[in-house]
Amino acid sequence: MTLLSIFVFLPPMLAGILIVHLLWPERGWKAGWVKVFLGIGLGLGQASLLDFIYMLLFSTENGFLFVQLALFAGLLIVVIVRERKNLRPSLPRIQLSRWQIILLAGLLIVIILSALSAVNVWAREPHGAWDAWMMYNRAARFIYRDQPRWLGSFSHQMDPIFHADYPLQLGMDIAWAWQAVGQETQRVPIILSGLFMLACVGLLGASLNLTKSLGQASIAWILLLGSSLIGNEGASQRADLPLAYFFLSTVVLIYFYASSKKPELLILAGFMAGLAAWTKNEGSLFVLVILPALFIAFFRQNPWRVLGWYLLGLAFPLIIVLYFKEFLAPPSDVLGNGIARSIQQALDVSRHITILKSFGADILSFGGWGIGILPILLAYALIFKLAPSSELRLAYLAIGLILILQTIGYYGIYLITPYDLQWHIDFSLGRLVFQLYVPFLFLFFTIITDVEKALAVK
Amino acid sequence: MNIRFILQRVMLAGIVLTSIYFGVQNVRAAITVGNLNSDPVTKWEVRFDAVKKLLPFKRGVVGYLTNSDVPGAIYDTNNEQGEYTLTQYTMSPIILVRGDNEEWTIANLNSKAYQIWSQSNHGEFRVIPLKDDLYLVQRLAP
Repeated sequence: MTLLSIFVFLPPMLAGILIVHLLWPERGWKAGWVKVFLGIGLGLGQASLLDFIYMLLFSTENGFLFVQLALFAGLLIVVIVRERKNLRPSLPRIQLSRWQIILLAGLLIVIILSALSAVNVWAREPHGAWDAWMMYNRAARFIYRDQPRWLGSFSHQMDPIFHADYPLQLGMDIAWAWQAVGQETQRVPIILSGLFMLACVGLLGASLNLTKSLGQASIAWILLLGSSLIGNEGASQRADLPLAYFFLSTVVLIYFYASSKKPELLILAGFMAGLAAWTKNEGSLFVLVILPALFIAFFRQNPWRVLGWYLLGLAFPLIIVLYFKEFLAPPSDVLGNGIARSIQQALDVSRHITILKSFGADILSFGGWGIGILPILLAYALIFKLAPSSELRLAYLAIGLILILQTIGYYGIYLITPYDLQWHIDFSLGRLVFQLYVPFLFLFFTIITDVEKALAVK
Repeated sequence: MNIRFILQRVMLAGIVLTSIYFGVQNVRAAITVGNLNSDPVTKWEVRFDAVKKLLPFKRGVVGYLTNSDVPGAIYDTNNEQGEYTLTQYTMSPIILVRGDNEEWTIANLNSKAYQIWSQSNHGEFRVIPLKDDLYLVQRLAP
């Protein structure tokens, strides 16, 4: 059943890789790995979106896997026709320095430990952590167990604590995979969480390997995996890691756009941002904060055109999200306070103090290492020195603004939350920091001096 | 070799070793925390198998009654909330609403709470007692 659960996700993932390749025909092994990890998430995302449409049209049918197989076959034919003269892949020549070998050895140990930890979580909690079974796996059950009347999943009679308004990225993927394998098995959400974990970790390293160096990628990987966050958070089957993955994909693509000026990369970035909105409500905020960030960063380079490319990629997932929110989902509880009460809460100084204190404490202790990973990164920056490229300053500005504006957005949500503030912070802040930590790691290691350069014999 | 060069090596070695140390700790903690055969969600699913079989429909709205809904019964608020969410997950795609106002209600009551509830609702419901403090209740009059 485990292998079957993996196989059903192969066609959408391969289709995703081909879509990325068609839009970004960059050559070489390093770029190839980036495309693979972008394609995995894009594939899982498009499958979820298309299954939503499929279910609206043919809710009594079980043929969605054939839709994905047809999509993959069609894309494969297009790629073969386009690439027929370039189908001679050459093996990469790898020469590793002593420090690269040491870092890779350390990384291998950390990967094994992280994988063991994740497997243990899956074995102990096959239904996932509390939020996972309560929201995402529950949504999948509602869709799968009564397909003809699946729209009843969004009934207003459902208790708001189950968040039937949450977007359906995970729920649709799990439901169609259950349909494809022919039974409701927990292997499916477990495999899905593993695939997002793989894609997230892989994309961080592959993109740093492409833009910087293997050593830089290795140290970022070690920091990401060594903090135990990714193993536990990823295996918990919650939506925070997939969301962090879509945040990372978007900022990586914006970075590549800033360096190459290929508009197709911004189209892909828009699509990935849209998938973030289809994954969790925080993703809708992300979609919005990218607009001013891109406008400001590319102000001297025809910002309207930049926004146009981004919106072009965003359009399809955003239409699905808006349709879902407008016509199916019950109202969101976070915005349930009303304007007058929200303003009253926003003007309450004690709430600002509580939020700032919590943000400070969480950021300083984040990572589970006792002293916090961010202070470690600060020390790392002082020791290794910043080495920003002047050609990439627009990329740094855009990504920096996105992360800052998203943080401000989270701050604002805490200000107006209808829930008890301290409870809401305790319950969610760690996961919000995690969502931003992954793209932050990418930005950080693109600005810092390469490990190889710093350790070159002096 | 200057000081920065030494610090850089110490920093890298420190990050690698710390990652490995906490990785080992995390695996050890995960192994000691959990018994692989005691997943509470799976146990809850088994507990509700009989309810699923006896309910005459697969999709619809069903009431949910628990100790906190019975005046005079003792309950733990956290447990009540946890059991309610577990039951909703288990019973999907049935929608659970609190109280006994629906035609069918799942009563998750300990024996004391059940006694109190049945005395105050005598004759209004048909009760099907199940194992593990569970009752499937059908309202007799609308």
